[in-house]
Amino acid sequence: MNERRELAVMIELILISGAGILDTINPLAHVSQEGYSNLWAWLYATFLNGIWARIFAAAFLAMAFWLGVYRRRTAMGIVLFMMSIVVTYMGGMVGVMFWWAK
Amino acid sequence: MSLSKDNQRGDVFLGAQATPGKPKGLLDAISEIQQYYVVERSGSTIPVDFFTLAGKLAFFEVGFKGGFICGLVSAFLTPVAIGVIEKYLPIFGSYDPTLYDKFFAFLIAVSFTVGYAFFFASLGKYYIGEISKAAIKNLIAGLVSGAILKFVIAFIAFHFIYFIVLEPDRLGAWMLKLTWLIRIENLDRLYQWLGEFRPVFLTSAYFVAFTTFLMVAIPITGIYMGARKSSKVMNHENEWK
Repeated sequence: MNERRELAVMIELILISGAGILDTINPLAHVSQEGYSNLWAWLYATFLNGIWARIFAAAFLAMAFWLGVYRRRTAMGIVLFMMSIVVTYMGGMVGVMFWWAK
Repeated sequence: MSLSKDNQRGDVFLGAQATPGKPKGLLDAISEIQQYYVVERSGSTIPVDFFTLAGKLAFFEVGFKGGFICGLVSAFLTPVAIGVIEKYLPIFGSYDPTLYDKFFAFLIAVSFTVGYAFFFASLGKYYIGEISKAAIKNLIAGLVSGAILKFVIAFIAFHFIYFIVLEPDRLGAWMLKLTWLIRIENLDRLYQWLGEFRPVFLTSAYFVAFTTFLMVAIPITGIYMGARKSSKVMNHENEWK
C-alpha cells in the first residue's frame, strides 16, 4: 500500500516538474507578447526579406557548390542548398500565410 | 592472398579484394574509379573481365539513381522559378522581382542539376585505362538513362497538371467541395490564381528539357576534356622518361 502511495507521489512530482519545464520554455514567460512579435518581425525582415535574404541565399548557394562539388562533401552541399531554398522562398511563404489569414 | 612480383624475397602479403566492389552511392563509385585509376596509372594492366557484369550494373544503378533523383529536385523547382519570373510567386518576400531575383530563381532551379553534373564531370581525369573507362561509361550511361526517364515523367506530369488537374471546370468542381474547410472568398482567390498560374506548367515542361540537356552535356563534355588533359600529361611523362 505504501509502495503505491510512493509511486503516486513520484508521478505527481514528475508532472509538477514537467509543468515547470513547460512554463520555462514558454517564451511569453520571459518577454512580453509585443516584444516576442517584434523579435519575429525583426527575424523575418533580416533573414527572409530584402537585401540580407539575397546575401544569405547567395552565400549559402555558393558554399553549397564549394563544399558539395569542389570539396566533395555531398551531405553538407545538400544541406546548404536546402538552406538557400528556404531563405529564398520562405519570406514569400510567410507573406502568403499572412495574406491567407486576413 | 597474392604474391608481390617486385619482392624478390618471396614475401607474401594479404591483398585487396579480388573483384571490383559494388558501389552503393556516388561517392563509393568515385572512390572505386579512383582506385582503378591509381592501379592503371602505375602501368599495371587489369584484365577487362575483372569488371564483372554485376559491377557494371552496380555502376549503372548509381548513375541512374543520381540522374533520376537529382532531376526530380530540379523538375520540382522549375515551376517555382518560372512562377517567380512570371510574377505569380514571391521571392525574398516580394512579388516584384528584380533582375537579380529572376536570375537567382533560375539559378536555384538549375543549380542542383549543374552541381551534380559537375560532380560527374570531374571523373574525366580518371578516364585512362580499360577498367576506369568501363566504370565511368556505365556510370554515365546510368546517369543519362535516369535523366531521360525523369524528363519523360516530368513532361507527362506537367502536361497532366495543365490539361487535367487545372482544367477550369474540373478545378471549379473540386474547389466547391472544399467550402466546408476554406472560406468562399479565399477559394475564389485561389481559383483565380491557379487559373493564371496554369500555363507555367507548360513552360516548365519544356524548361525541364533544357535542364536534362545540361545534365547530360556537362558530364560528357567534362569527361572528354578531362580525358584529353590526362592523356596529354601522360604523353609528356612518357617523353621525359
